[in-house]
Amino acid sequence: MSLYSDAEYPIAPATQALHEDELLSFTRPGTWGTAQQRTAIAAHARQARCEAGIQESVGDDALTSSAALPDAAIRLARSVALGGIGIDQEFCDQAQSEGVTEGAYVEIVGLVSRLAHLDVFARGVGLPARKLIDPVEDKEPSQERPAAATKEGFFTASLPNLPEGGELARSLYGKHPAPNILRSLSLVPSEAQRLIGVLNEEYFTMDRMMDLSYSSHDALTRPQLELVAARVSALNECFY
Amino acid sequence: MKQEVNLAGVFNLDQDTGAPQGRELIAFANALIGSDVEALNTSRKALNAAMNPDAVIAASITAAVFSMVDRAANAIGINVEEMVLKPSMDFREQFGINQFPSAANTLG
Repeated sequence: MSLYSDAEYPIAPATQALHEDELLSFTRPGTWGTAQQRTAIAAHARQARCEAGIQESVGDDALTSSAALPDAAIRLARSVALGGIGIDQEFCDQAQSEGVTEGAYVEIVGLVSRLAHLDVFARGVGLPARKLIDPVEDKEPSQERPAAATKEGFFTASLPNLPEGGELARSLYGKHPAPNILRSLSLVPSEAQRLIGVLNEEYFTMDRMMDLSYSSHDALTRPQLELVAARVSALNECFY
Repeated sequence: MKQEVNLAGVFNLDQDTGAPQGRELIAFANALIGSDVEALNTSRKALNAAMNPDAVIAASITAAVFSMVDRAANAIGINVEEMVLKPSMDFREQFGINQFPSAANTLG
């Protein structure tokens, strides 16, 4: 059975496959978090959105108990779930002083942001959010930090473009300089890879971005697509 | 074919963007990010009627993608690149974008 087999709208197989892979990622080990920790983070994020009335519960709430988490991790998950509006360097530093490592911070931001992607999509096509899958601890988090990661002016370190970013930068970004949004989660390369993957599949690859006549969806012209994007970003008070 | 868009319609729902089905798309995006389920269902039906089911899916995908990138941008504190700053100067001021909390990550 496909992920969105209950949908009234004709969701493409490629979209279903991408979203299924994304859903699995939330309850599998990451670079910094165990599967159970990541599951708990996802469940807290969803709970925050449900409490705020911007999403309806699908009964995942019990998964908040999958792992004991520092209060700062829960606070971060909940803040990002609601848009991350108002998060500043002080918030980030405070989370780290309370035990959320820099890498875990980035991983939580990535996970919760990608979960919002799935949940907003489901809501858009009139479906309940897809239930989180039980955690599977099939490997230990490596807690590896890219050697070339450095502070580039964001709240957290990131992997620079070539040449400083080296082969890892080439594998993540390609040969051309990547904009800040693509580098934002690169302290945790697997999160950056997933964000870039979703953007490439569902928005644009970098080589298409500046072709203003091109739309990634046949049903919408580029201006129509950008109107939706702009309105969402305005509501999320995202300056970028 | 070049399509002119009135950006004011993105920030002020009383204004028309000038884009075909702009009103329906903005209403849908608005409702999708909001808490009024009835408004969401109504706007989805209206978008479907004005366009087609594929447009509902495409708009949902786009709203979902930007729900993701907005959160990453806000929570990691990325700044806007220099090449985008200057061309956006007038409308950022006009539409209150400079007052977003995340503006501080670029403007200081």
